Amino acid sequence: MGVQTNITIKSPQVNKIGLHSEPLIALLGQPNAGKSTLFNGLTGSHQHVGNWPGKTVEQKEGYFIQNGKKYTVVDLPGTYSLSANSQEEVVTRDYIAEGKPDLVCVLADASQLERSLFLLADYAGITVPIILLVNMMDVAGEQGKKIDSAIISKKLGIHVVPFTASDLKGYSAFYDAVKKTLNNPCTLRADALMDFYKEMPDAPYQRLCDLMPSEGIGAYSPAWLAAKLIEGDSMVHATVSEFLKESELVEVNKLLSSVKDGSLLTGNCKFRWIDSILKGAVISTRADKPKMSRFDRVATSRTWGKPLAITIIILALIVSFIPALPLMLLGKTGMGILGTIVADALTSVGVPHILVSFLCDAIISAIGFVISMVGFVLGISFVFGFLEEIGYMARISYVFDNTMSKLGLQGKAVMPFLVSFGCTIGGAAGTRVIDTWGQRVLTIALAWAVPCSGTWAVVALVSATFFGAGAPLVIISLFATALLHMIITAKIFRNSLVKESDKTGLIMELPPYHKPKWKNLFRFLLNRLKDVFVRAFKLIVLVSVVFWMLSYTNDGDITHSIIYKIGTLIEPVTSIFGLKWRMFMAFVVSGMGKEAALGVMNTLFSVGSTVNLSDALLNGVSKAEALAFIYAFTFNIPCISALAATYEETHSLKWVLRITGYYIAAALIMSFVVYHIGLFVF
Amino acid sequence: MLTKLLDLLEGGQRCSLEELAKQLGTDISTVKAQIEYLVQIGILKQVTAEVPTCTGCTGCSEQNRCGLDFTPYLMWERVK
Amino acid sequence: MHLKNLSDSKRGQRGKIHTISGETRFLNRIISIGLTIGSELEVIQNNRKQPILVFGRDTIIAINRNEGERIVLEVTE
Repeated sequence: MGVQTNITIKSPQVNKIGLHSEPLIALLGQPNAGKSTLFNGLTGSHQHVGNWPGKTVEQKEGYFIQNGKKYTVVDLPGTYSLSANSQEEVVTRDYIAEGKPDLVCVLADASQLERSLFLLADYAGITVPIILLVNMMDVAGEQGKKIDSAIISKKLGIHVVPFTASDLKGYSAFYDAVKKTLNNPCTLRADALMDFYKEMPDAPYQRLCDLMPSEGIGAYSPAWLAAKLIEGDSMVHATVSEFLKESELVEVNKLLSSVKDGSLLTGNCKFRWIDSILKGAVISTRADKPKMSRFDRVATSRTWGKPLAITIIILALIVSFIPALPLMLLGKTGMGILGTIVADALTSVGVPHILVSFLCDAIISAIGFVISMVGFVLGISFVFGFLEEIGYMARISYVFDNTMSKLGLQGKAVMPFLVSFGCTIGGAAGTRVIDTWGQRVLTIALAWAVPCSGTWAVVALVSATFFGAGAPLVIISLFATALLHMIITAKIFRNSLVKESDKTGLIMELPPYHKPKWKNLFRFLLNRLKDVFVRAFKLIVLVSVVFWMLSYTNDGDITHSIIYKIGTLIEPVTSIFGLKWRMFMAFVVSGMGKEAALGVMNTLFSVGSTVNLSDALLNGVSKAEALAFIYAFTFNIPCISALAATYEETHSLKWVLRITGYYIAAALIMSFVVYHIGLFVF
Repeated sequence: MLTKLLDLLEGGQRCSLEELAKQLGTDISTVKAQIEYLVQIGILKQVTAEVPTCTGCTGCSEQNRCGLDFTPYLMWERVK
Repeated sequence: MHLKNLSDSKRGQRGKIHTISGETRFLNRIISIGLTIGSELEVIQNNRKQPILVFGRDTIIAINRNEGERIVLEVTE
């Protein structure tokens, strides 16, 4: 990274006693520990911002006056630790080590002490006197944590000040600690940490300490230097090299060459040390077990997690039917009645038949379908939105994570799969987190089998129409088949896409459960209703109109229309798959966009027919055919936009075409199989 | 502690923070602090995915991000 | 330097975050995800009426359209 350092210390003795006329206090802390607030609180308007000489890091300096004495305050950059990884860290630690501050004030976040104190652990071994400010005590209090700073103070041998930015009392304790430490300098007591260092296996800590300059370098004690060397800190190594004799340097390098994963070893020690400091000093007054944890243990358990998730998903699907059914009724019968009324009214006024047909068969009837379909989309949006709101969706992704690896995918592929439930395009975009191209293509190829919300709406509607109460069974069988489909697809495509099995572990953060925010949920549903309705309307009505044009004949007899002629021509072939020509066309058009199939079904069954649409459907399509259609439809390619998105993410026309061909073929095969099973069953 | 954490990830194991805490005999804040350290030294990397899972790319209203809070999926894995 | 609002960017566009403006809650969210000034981003999806999906440093996030107007990118591709 090319970070320069210029420690210009020649004499190792730097500790100044705080009888200096203008003591300099440096504020050290991780980002978001509240340093700026403290700095502003201390210095008010007496501050100025500049740059560290030669660097691009901001330097804030100010002063305050207490009891007639002026104290200078420097706000050091927020740093996670004091390593050589970034310019901020190097600038910060060199500033301290050169002995400029008389006192360093380390800020820690009381609500995240295990994390905050890491900086302190990295400071251990630097001999500039410090005080520890435990900030954000109010936040810790809200979390139910009680912190006994006296215990921490005793263990560390320094003054520890509990602090809350808004509480003015803290400031007097701060000034008090500053004064006391300046008069009686205390350095951080870290022998416990050094003991841990000495216990490091395969790391010659003690020997390295002995080889270091006995007075350290600046405020860096030998203990600190040795630890940094073990971590592989190149800047420290460069600096130390200038201070050592040739022979000593050789031995140091030899010792270091035998160290592996030094950062892990020292990191271990630091966390053990932090643990020992906090033991007994932090008490949680809140009962640790939140209400849902017993449920969560089941939800994430290896044995029960999956069955529970599957049960919940199936229940969710069934429940989603409930709000959908009234809308379906409204759509079908409502529009049916409206259509008849309008037809009668217009004909009696002498409106030409072509117009009446257009209005009733193409438009009004299509609207009926739109309304029916929207109900199902709402149902499923509500149910899955609810699961997402309360936080259960994350558990689903967690539990099926190893299913991903059985399919040859990375664990994090669950995320695009879940998104594909809504829309396959989102799923394709979501695969961006997957590192290897081959894995990404495989993930998308499998995600195509996940039914998107458009698929769901049509399938639910058709199932409800043809199978009534048996619809949930159809749904369940679809999901089982989808899983099978994915396993087979994975087997087929895996070898050409995924070379090695890179099984990397995954850690997931499961968000806490929380009560659903009903207002949000309903606002979401309302928005969704609007958007889905508009999109479905456009698609279904458009397709309806197009097919109406293809099927209209002057004498009202559909057998004379273009589409009928084409249809009956291809029917012998399509029947093999259990799809008569009307349903086959619906299947084909669904490649454009899932909802479009409804537009086709609408027109082809209502034009030229004397009965109402529902009856026409039930008469014109047998149960076995309906089942075949449902399967073919579900496993067909997702919409054209999804194809485009797949191409965008994979950059491979070859694969897009392959996967497309595969899915169409699979859909037809499935249609064939299911049709014949259906013939047997019904 | 840290090496034990990494061992738990060997062989494609997946764990939640709760599970790690249980296996390591500590609490979640400590596990998170250790994960953060491993990210800092470049052994682990954080993967975040906040793609809307609320069943919709057909539309979230402009105003209010569809009203639901997207829960980001927060994951960590070893750097290859 | 070619600057552009995130909300005006096209799919596939890459850039570095140049400036972010807004209230603290928004800034905190962006920073906690790990994006800062200088972070490299790629726009994965930017359609009207939908959140903008961006990818950078192993992170995909969905950014509200309003938020997208407050992030300025220095376009690199």
